[in-house]
Amino acid sequence: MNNTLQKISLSLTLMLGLLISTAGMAQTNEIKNLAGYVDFGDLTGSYGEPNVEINLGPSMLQFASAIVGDDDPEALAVMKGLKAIRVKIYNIDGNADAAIGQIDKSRKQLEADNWEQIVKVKEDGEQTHIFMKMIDGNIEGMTVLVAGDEDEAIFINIIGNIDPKDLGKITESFNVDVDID
Amino acid sequence: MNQRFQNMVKLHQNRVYTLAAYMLRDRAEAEDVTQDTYIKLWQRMNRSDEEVSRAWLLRVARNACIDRIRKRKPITDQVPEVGDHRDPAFRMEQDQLGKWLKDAIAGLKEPYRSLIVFRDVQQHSYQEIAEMLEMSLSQVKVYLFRARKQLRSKLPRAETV
Amino acid sequence: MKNKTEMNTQAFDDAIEELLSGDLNTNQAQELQQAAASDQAMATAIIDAWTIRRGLDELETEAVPPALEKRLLAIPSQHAPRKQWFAWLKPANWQAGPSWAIGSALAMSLILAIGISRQPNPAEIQQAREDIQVALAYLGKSLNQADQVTRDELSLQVQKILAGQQHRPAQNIEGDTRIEPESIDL
Repeated sequence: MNNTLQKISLSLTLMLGLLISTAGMAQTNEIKNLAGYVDFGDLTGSYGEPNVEINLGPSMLQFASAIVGDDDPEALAVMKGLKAIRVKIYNIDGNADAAIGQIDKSRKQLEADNWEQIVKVKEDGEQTHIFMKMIDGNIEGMTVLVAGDEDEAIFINIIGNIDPKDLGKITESFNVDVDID
Repeated sequence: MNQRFQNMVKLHQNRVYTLAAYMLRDRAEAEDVTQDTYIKLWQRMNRSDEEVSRAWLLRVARNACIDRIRKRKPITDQVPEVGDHRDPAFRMEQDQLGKWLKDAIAGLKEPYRSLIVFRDVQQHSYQEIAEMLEMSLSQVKVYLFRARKQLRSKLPRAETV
Repeated sequence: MKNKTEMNTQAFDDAIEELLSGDLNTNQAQELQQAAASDQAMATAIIDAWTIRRGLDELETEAVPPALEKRLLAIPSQHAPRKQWFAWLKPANWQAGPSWAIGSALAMSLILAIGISRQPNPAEIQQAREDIQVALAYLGKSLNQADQVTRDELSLQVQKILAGQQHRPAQNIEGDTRIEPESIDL
């Protein structure tokens, strides 16, 4: 009797796990299929697990946007235009080689995919690249790649209609302190 | 879970540390309070799905600071010295004023000290301060007025010749 | 307006704070200023209050020392997680009896809850909000690293491209020269 119960419970647990992981995979696939998705590769071999890894798809962004509320229609409109937010931050501990290698790969992919580079800074081994994806007069995404003197390599991919000047609206709504150091 | 904790560190560590540094005026103690606060956060995150927020974090840090201050030898109504201000033409330079203010804030009693740090240093909204200090909005405003008035009363003036 | 000696002390203090907070209307502010012009005590109090406000405005937040940040980030690895909510599923905790029925029912209800509705729970939504905060903070940091290129300048650049105007590719600058905001093709 106990064995039977244990088996039933184990099966249920496995089903539960399967459903949860399926939900996670669904979110990842949902993001990967969006126009404006950029592959940042995997630098785990060089730097270990990312310090920060964020993958927010359309549905989760919609739920999270509820905080903005109707009292800030401008910020709400900006959030509604977003389809995904992806961030990968690695602690590079002074060794930017692998990160810069990955940035070069991503850059080539972005250029091949007709992204427009609007900022490129190279100084003393430090690199900052900002790309925008625009199709038929619409903004489809923004990608930021940073590596260098700082201890972190930063890969950001925002998919959707995001005008840089609108960033301030949501930054305020989400009560963000831009003081990460 | 771990990722969420890292986010909470990245987003709010400076606020927690600033609060402790201003309240305690001792960097080593401020570091200890910041670390203890985040250990409590990690334990809480592991214990349950209870919501953790910036307000919760700052409330814990503030309570830890108050505990430490209580254990110190009582030094009440300490008025910081700001050099010789008997000169009628005396006007505090900004650096001098900043240092004097930090000492003066640390010399305030609770909740005035926390209110000044939360509102005037960290620019929190009245609503968030009310949540952190478990006060009503009107209490926050009234106490903040009193806190600033106390600072004003301690300010060395040219008339103190 | 009455002078300080005539005014209720509390009302006088409140008026000063409201003046400095910009909460007095123009007429009230002018009245207070006029009263202060003929009342030395009142004038001094306003100057002192203004001095305090000026000083407070200049006070800066303190940045966490790098060594402390490392210690904070290491907390999860140094403080083992407490007993997890699913610990009862581990074989060592398996026992015969009614608790099984409760456990199975719980698992079933969870499966049904997840299977029927894909709504994220409040903790997941809170996590998503924090993720957005982190993403925006890093975005801001990245823009700052690009030599304080402002969002408006980037936006102008983007609008120009969108308008189909000729876009000069971003310059590839090596060495110690950075792209200054003015040098961006606006």
